[in-house]
Amino acid sequence: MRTTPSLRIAAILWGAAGFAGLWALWELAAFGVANDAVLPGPRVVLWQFERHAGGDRGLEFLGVEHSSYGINLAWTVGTAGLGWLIGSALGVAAGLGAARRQWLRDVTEPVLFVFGAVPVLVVAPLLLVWLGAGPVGKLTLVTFYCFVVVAVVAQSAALNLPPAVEEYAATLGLDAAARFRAVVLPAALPAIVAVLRLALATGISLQAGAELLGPRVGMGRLISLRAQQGNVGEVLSLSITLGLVAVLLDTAVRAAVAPALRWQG
Amino acid sequence: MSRPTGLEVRSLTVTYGSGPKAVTPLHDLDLDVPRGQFLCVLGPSGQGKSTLLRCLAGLLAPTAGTITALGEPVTGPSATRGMVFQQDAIPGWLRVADNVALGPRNRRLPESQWRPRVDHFVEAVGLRGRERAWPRELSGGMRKRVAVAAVFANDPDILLMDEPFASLDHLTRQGLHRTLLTLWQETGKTIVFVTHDVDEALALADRVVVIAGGGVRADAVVPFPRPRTDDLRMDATANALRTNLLHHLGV
Amino acid sequence: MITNKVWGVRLRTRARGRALVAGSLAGLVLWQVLAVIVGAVTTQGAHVVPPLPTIFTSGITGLSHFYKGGLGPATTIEGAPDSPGLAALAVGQNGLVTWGRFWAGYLLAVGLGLPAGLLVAGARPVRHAVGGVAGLLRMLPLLAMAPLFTLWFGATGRAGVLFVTFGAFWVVLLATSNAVANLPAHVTDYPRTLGLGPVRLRTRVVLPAILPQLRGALMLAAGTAWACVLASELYGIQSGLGWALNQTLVYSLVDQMIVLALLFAGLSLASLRLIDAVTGHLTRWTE
Ligand SMILES: Nc1ncnc2c1ncn2[C@@H]1O[C@H](COP(=O)(O)OP(=O)(O)O)[C@@H](O)[C@H]1O
Ligand SMILES: [Mg+2]
Repeated sequence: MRTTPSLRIAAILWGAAGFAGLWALWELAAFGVANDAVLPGPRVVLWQFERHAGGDRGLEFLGVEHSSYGINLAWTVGTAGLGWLIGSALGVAAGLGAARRQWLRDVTEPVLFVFGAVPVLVVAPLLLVWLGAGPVGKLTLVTFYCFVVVAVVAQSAALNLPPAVEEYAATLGLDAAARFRAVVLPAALPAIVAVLRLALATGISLQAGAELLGPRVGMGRLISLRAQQGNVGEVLSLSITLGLVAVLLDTAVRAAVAPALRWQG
Repeated sequence: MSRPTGLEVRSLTVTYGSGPKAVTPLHDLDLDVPRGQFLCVLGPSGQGKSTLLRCLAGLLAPTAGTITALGEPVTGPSATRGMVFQQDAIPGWLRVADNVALGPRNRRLPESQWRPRVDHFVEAVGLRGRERAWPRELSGGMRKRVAVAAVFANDPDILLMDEPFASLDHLTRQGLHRTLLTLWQETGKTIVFVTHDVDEALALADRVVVIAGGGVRADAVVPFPRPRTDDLRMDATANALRTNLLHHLGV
Repeated sequence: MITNKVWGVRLRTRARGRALVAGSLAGLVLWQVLAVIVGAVTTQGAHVVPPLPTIFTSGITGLSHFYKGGLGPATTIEGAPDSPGLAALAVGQNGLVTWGRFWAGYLLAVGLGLPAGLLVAGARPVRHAVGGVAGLLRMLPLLAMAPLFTLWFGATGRAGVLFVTFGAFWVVLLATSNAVANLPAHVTDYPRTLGLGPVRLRTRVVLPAILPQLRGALMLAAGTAWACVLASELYGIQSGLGWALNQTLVYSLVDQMIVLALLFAGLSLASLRLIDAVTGHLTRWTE
């Protein structure tokens, strides 16, 4: 689908209108509920953010060493990002390798078959239960999750390359290594990028969810403390901040790979 | 001048599957293609034309028999035998010029060696000015031109073409015929061109073989001088040849 | 020139049943070996990596105390000893609750997300407006927001169901509106010439046409829904397999934890299979 500049501007404007509408709806709902303890309006949440983003002495009495958003964000996103990097790198290598080498396929198949693309989302929290709530356990969890989803998609993307394309490359004299580099890899790229983005968003969500189970730092930890205090506004402020950071990262990933995907139009 | 053999096919048999479901489209087929010849392989659908071509390309191992190309036994795909496929096989992620350079670049030949050839064949197939276009931005006929330029730029000795223009409309196809003949005359490559269209074969070939029932059913020289025009449809000799070929095709 | 190339491009692997069986067996053997080693080296080891026989005995019967009564037999609190029968009742009771929460939340999400997606896709401005918002909401740290629903709706099943719906809804909505937007014009042009109205056009033409594209999203939504069920039961709600799982976590009952995890995974896989079969049946015309 072709998009002209004016259409793109319209898309941005309408997107902004959507957020304005969400804001208005939320404001209206909060007005209707008329209880900031149950449903604080967006301005209340924003105020919470301004008040506590830099830190909150109150939390420090509860044993939170660093209560500012920045440090906890860095911890949560950093851990999730590290797991994502390791897991995705291994996943791409294993998935593409398993599509080309039978022995590798035989080794990875049991893991990928059992955990699949979707079941791993279910199994991941269970894994956490077993791995424990320490930082290494959570890193392992995110890494394993990213590994499985990325490997499954990378493998099927490499296998879905139309045979004629690879045969064509072979009749041009490209050997197996050259075909992998020049044909298999670029053909699988769009699917791999899509799953990398999904894995990043879900990885952050998994990491934060895992942090509810009681580590010392992380956005999830702050959320669970605020929930115990019954502070809805602060829970929303923390969640939305983390969501916005995830959107930012996603946009960065998308922008970084855009040139490599331009051929798709 | 002696013409050394380009392709030598001896007792070629291909069987797909086994047991009661086995299919044997080619059985004990013999064929010689002299170097530099433009051969058209005609045959009804499902009679093993693609199978033969895939064997010649080294993409499919024969069940029995041997294939020799330029004196060497064929045991796998090679840059000396280029192929143009019926379906779109050119990678969509390479711009036109990069697509044409796909073979030599990835065989890691020095750029100085292939760059002029790539430019030349991009120009020769009429894609000058579209070098930076993506395949999706091109018409079906233009994508075929990319595929043709790409094999020529890779400089194989033998070109294998499997109904390459079957999906194109008449006018586009004629344009591609002219381009292909020009390139053939310029480079003197051996071409094996598969088609199920008698008129396409008569317009292009030095020689036509009909494949049916597992082997070569007819083998005819096409004596008309080039350039051949649509007037060929009125020519009595041409009509006799056409009728004869159609007869062998079972029409 | 000697060529020792291989015919063709034989570089596509396939799944082999043998490898699958061998891999699974290797996994079990590895576990048992690990259990023996860890058990020999540390005193607490048997609790971290319980040996297979323990998992299949006390891991199962130990579940008895998750039976809350009301189905006839006495509970362990009332003095009944652990038994396979009570364990089965416990699993049945909690599994059914979890199963029900999943389906209620998931079906609600699909029931709301599909029509909403069809509506949203109808006009380009609305699509852009809702698409941006849904894109952000989808990126919220969903699993970490389970406590929010407990705050709003209490530690009840209703909170769990609504949390599941919230998680899966955006996936369905976005996928539906994207699928409609990507639909080639000719799919709707022809029925329009037949005079179909807007509602019939959407239910009779557009919906079936996008279903093949939606299959993946419906599976993803189901996976998300299961993660949400688990999250909500782990944090707060006092019933369901997730609650039992949380108890085993709190009391470090690893053998029971593994049995529960397997049951949970089995339940979710069964539902995913079911969804796959149903959507496969509905889109059988594509193959
Ligand atoms: N990969 C394959 N497996 C099994 N049968 C095949 C395969 N490829 C072709 N065939 C069968 O072999 C016969 C010849 O096919 P093909 O060479 O494609 O014929 P043509 O190109 O002349 O139409 C057909 O009956 C076809 O069904
Ligand atoms: Mg064919």
